[in-house]
Amino acid sequence: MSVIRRQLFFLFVIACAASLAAEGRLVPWLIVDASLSAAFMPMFQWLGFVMVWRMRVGDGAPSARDTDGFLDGNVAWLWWWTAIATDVSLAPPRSMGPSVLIAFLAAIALFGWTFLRDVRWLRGGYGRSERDAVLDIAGMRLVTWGFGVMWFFGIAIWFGEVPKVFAWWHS
Amino acid sequence: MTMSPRVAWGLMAIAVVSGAAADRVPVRAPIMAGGYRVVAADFHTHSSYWSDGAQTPMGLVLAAERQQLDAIAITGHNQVSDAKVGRWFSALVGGPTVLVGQEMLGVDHHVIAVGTEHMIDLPTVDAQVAEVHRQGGVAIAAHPMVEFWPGFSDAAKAQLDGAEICHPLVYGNPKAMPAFEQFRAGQNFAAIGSSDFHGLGRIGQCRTYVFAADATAPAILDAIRARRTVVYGPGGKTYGDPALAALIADRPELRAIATVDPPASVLDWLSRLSAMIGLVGLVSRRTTAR
Repeated sequence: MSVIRRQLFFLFVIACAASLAAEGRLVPWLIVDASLSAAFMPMFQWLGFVMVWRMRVGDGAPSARDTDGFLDGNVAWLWWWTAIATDVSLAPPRSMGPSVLIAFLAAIALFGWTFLRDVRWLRGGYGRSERDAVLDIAGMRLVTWGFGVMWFFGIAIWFGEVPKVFAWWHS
Repeated sequence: MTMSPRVAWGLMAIAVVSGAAADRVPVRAPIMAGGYRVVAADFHTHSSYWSDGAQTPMGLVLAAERQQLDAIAITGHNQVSDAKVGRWFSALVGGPTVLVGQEMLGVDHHVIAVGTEHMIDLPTVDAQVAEVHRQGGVAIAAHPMVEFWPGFSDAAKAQLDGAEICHPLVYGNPKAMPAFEQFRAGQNFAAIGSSDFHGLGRIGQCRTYVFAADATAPAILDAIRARRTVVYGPGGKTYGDPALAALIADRPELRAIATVDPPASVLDWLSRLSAMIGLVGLVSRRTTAR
């Protein structure tokens, strides 16, 4: 239950940010709508964690305590989403100033920081070697972000446009 | 010092209640001018179904109503399925006209297809526009920044029905407006204003006023083909047919909603501030010493 509550809370924070970004207020229908829109994030995160855990880390499915420990790493992202919610609440809708770039750069930094944090968690809590822990977390991220990006940006782009970009790059 | 969870959740409840109280669908009569129905439309929006948007197609429909739009095109990246979901939902709830469309992405061009029923996957603008027309739709150059010009040959430009002259980029990128104006110089494009809405800003913050026989999809497409559009850009500068613009010159509210952010109400601010403080309170309690 704790795990589900964590993921629902994660979704709730994202949905609040989306509601504030689109309407400048918290609106029930938008919170529900944005939760449906963002549901792929916790789902793919859980999928990546369970897949890699079963293949590399544990004997079977991760326990609730294991999962809870892993999802603890989302706190940094919760702060990021809270910052986004604050920014879009205060900025006028037509302002697309530097905050978008700052948010993007912060996301890259957070991606790296949370990666190292999760590696340390696996090493400290489960006795994984540094190499194994790095591969474990990289595998989880690959599944989570791979599926997530593919869903978010659209299957059409990934099978239709990315090959064109590669072809253009090599031409 | 952390906030009590009861206080934090209480603030979130205040944020939701005040936000819901401020959330109203404006009641308005159809605008007529010169024998035309003046349709407020946004022809470039993205949903969360595979097109990096933050709202579902249903959410786009509900948001469009609140922003006083009579029509939207949902333009998925190289796909039309989410637009069909939006069209179905809008018909169900009596919402705005939803036109099915897609944004055809290329390395050197982005083109919006509006009024097409089937996915178009062709490599060049010429071929894309020809297929859009074959399906009965209209083709619009999307945010024609200089880097997107190479994909448009002279022949392709001659076949385009419209080009975006107002897009949220014009409010944040000083290169955008000159590029859009230069792209349309000497061309007979319908002026198009679109929000390219992905979840930030407001849907319809750039919009097109279409002078159509009625607010149905065929009438709107006919009007674009006939170049019967007016767009207000930054500072209220007018693009499109001057004679049509003159017909709505006595409706300053049309220009205002297209160019100026409306002031936030007391309820809006109550919702925002409660949400911000409440979220900080809730998230700070999640911080643990893993």
